[in-house]
Amino acid sequence: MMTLLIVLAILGVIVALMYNFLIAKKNEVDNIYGGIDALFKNRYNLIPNLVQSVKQYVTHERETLEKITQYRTQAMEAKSSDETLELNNKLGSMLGGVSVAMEEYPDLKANENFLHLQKSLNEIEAQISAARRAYNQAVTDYNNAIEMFPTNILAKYMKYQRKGVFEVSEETQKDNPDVKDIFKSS
Amino acid sequence: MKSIEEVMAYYQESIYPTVQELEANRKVMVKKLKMLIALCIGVTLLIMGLIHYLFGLNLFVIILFTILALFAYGIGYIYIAGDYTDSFKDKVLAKIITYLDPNLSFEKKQKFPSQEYLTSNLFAKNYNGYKGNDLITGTIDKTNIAFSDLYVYHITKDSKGHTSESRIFQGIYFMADFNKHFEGELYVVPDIAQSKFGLVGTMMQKMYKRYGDLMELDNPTFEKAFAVYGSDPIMARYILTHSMMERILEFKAQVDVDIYLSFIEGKIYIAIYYGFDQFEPNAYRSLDDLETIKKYVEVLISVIGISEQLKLNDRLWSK
Repeated sequence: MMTLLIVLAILGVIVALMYNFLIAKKNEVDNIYGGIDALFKNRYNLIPNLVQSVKQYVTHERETLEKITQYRTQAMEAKSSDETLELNNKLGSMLGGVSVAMEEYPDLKANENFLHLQKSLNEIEAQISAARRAYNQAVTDYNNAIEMFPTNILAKYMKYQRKGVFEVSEETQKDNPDVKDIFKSS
Repeated sequence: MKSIEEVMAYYQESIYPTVQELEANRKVMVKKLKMLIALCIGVTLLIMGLIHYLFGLNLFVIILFTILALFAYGIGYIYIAGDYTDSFKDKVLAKIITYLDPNLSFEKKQKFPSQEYLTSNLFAKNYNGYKGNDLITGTIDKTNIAFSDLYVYHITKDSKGHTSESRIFQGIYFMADFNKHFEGELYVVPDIAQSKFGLVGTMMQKMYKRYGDLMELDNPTFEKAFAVYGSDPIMARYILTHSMMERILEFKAQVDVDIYLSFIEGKIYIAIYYGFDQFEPNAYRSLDDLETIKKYVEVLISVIGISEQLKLNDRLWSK
């Protein structure tokens, strides 16, 4: 009887440890997603000023600028994290899609306000790139935990589902994004 | 940054004649040191002989006068070699540093500020010995840098009164402005536990909270060389971009010793653990040997070149 109790107690401790481990992995993903969300908000805040600064110089890209504004609005109203990530993925690509070679617009290059915005955009895109790497690492750890034995048994019981990684366009994967390159590359 | 070849060409053209003079001084110095040794031995033997003749020798007297002789030699050595060391630094090191970058200033008697050592938080703070010299400061392009030779140690005394000295750090301590805004702290330290103990080592690292939480980064080579600790996983990756990790690995391969990095309060600190003083001339090595000078130049180029190698002058961001 005592042996059975000891075995049950050990099993109970193991289950509790596994449970806490899974919760920690899930929370880590959620925490980093919170960080990404804050960075997306910074990106949303920057876009109107950026579009405003650029559009008076870049007359041929009005349609792309409108799409950026549209994706921004949709991303801000997104209901799920998957939707937010997907729309921001498009938004990142669309920023590249502005397709304006800055060298062709010396007036824009001389604009102090634009240069400031360019630096802010670089910073936000670099932070989003960093956040994406952190998020993907956390998601990989989480997915490994819910698929590997023995934690997969408990994960199934807790109804944990696989999460998708945050894939982005090549432009936003760069370590040091530069508006010039983003615009040029699409 | 100028290449080793350029600096060596400058050295041979502009500094070499001065070094010839220094080399002659060094030879005179070695003669003086030999005379000093002879003098110390002679005087000690004479005094001990007198004592033996007058009172009779015992072990205590022999030990006492041997210590006194060594002490006298030590004082004499510092006095004689000190001049040579100062001349070498003024006539060779200072000129090479100015040639490498005229914006740099060299103060041979100054050292890396202890306050900055404490802020870097890389090593123990309970030291009771903090020595250093050869402080180099200045601005490379847009980046302020400072570094010096540093020796930090701790002296302990046991119950029997015996003292022992344990080294905390010895090598070059470097700091520079970092080119990105960040909040929080990030530490990059040699991955000793994992490389020695494998998975158990990783578990030990996770439990070790001195530097914060262990971070796993997406560069296997970097992960193998370093353990990264920090307060924020996003900030860690914002600083340690893929290219930054590659540059740090290149720098480590270049200096070929353990390096420790911390990113705190907008600055990057790098401790290069050489284990000995880098900029002291070896009194017993001839200065005619160009390899001797080349070693100083290599170290200077490696450390002054950090801001260029890690691209700390790139200001694409709002800082």
